Amino acid sequence: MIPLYVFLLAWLIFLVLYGVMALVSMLQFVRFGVAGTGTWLSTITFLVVALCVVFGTGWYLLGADWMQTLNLFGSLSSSVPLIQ
Amino acid sequence: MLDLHHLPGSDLQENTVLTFRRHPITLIPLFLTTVILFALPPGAYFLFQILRPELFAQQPIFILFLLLATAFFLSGWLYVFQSFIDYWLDVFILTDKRILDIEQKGLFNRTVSELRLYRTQDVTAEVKGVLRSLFDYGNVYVQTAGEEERFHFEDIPHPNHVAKMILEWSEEDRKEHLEEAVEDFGMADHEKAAKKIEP
Repeated sequence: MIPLYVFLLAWLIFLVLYGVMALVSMLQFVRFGVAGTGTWLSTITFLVVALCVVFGTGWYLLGADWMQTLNLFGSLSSSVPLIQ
Repeated sequence: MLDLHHLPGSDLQENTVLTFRRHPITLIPLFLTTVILFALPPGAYFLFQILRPELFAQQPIFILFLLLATAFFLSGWLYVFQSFIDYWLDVFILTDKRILDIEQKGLFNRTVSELRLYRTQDVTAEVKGVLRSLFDYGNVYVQTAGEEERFHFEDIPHPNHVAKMILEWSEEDRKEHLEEAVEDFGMADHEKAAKKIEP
């Protein structure tokens, strides 16, 4: 039985690492890109989509009960046949 | 940022003639990857809803799925962005004085090659294959007198037009730098003598 907050912690660590890699990528792009609309538009598009996904997920997860536990193998197996 | 009007190492009277990148058609694999990336998480959700509808009725399972789907999507999205960076930062710039070949390999590997136009010896345009013929894109090879003998521009749009422009501007630049061009290409003795006699 694994508490749900363990997965949240892993996800947050992933987000931090992701943020660092995304920041480095954007800085390199802006630093070496040809000055113009294309460079800025693509950077902003990347940032907006990533932020929407993160905040959208975060907004949903705000209402979750993180003290719940998860029995991975018990939950995924079932006596109900896969195809009825 | 790289300003086309203030290129590194440029002199005051240098003007940018043409800027080109690989043809956008080379982005199709990346586009398809993006489509699959957007479709996979909701696709997996709907698949589970059809096959195992009771699975996501349990909130912990759904939360775990959401975290995994988000992590997958964000990783893929970053990969798409970095692949696009690799495409966008590869630039070929033709000015009235030189050609710049800026090649980005990954995030931290960048090669900038520069060629003075008067050193251009030969320009070849190559369009091979059905797709390239239909969409008019291909390779341009620039033979030079420099250390890097051949510049290679891959999958650029309108290669014949680009090759022609390089040749025309090379001719113009060679007129201004006749002495240097003579040094690089050499001239027959009688031509040198004829030049000395002319007032």
